[in-house]
Amino acid sequence: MKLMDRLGKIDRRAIYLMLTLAVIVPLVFTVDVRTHVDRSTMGLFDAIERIEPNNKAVMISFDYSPDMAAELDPMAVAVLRHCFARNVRVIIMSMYIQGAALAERAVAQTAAEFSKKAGVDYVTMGFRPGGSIIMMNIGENIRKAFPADYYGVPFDSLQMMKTIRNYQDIPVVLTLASSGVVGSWVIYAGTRYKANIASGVTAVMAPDYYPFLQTGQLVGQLSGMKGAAEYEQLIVDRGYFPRKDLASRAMNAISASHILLIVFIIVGNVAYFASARAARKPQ
Amino acid sequence: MKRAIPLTLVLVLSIVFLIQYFIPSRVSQQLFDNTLQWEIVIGIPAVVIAIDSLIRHHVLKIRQRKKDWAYSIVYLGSALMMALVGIIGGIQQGRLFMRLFTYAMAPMQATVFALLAYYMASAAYRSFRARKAEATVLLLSAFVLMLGLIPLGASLWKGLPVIGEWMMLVPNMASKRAIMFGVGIGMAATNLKIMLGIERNWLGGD
Repeated sequence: MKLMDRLGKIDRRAIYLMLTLAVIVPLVFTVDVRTHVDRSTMGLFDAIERIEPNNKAVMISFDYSPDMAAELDPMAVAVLRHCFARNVRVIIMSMYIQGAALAERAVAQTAAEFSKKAGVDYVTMGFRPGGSIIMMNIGENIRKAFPADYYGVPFDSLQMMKTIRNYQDIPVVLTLASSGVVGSWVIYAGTRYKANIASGVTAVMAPDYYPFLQTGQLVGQLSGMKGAAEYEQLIVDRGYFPRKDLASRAMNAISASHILLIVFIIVGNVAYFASARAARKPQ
Repeated sequence: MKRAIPLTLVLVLSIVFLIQYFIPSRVSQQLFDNTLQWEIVIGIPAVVIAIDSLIRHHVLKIRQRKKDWAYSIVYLGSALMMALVGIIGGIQQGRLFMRLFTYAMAPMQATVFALLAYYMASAAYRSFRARKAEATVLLLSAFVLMLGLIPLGASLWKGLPVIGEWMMLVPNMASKRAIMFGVGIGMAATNLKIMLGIERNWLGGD
């Protein structure tokens, strides 16, 4: 029974150490593995595939702060690569004040990879306070929501925006969100203005939005790091980008940590039942 | 008067915009459009008030030497520095503002959030027990989902990710939808109570 006693009393610091190793080791020694692509990820990918190049624009709203960037940044990068590789224009905005800076980082990286120009191939509108009001404003006239871009360039000077008036010229609105803002996009942009909404959310939040996927109120969804890894795999498979990136590497770390958690749960339960059984036995 | 005017405004405007939604005329649309602009204008002073309130709170804490008052100095100093760096040096890529954001603020926030993984691991080991039939079902569902989400799950058995996806799309969705219906009805009822002046908490305490 000594072994069982020990298994039931693993020191907290040992658990922390094992988890740290389970995350770090797979990030250093990566193994390329294929990920099963969900229908929800395919939904977003197909929606962007259907957009005619150099015509209408995809809108990506960075509705998250840096604490969630580990999960949501890889999604942003993968989707931006897909758009830029297909010459689909992109409008970038944020409902979170810190999201604007995160967007700036992601777009600077991907625009440089595909030699895309600000104002011509993409625009960064930055943060606007107002939430649902801004969503409805875009539905009426995007110019009213964003009189100038993130750097103060007037709306009328942005070449790309000359043909874009409202959601009718934006075939996909993708919200990368770490809060309930997805629901607001569905209500105020989707239901009211018939915009096609897609979401990229953290793995914890993903189950909340499956009802919207089934009803078609969300055209697609990227769920956590797995969603980002699936998207990376799709753009590599279709030849839009030569290699998988951070999300695919991180999936190895997530795999290891999931297995470790399962082992912890099993060990915890075995030790619990063994000690309960021992306690029932007459002395 | 102090209560009658806001209550009347809420009642009248609620009815007006409820009707407006169903009238697709130009006048109706213009009215809605103008109101959206007003709302943005009203929203901006709220940011100023929030900053003012935050500064007052921390200054008071420092003056009265309340618990952890030194952190308030760090907070005010950091906030002032970020504002000045952004206003003076600009916010474009490569500027000091973006460097501070990318290499200091973002990693700090991410680190704090990442600590959650350690608590989860510890809690999974200590508390996730198959004590009852319901807990066992929950435990098995968690195993299938956790394995289904990772590439190894598909390597073990191709059906795992499919079952995981089914669990999200059917039982999970059914329960979520039921909750959402409840929340939706609750929201409609609360809105109606605010419109009719039954719910008055938004007016403040006095």
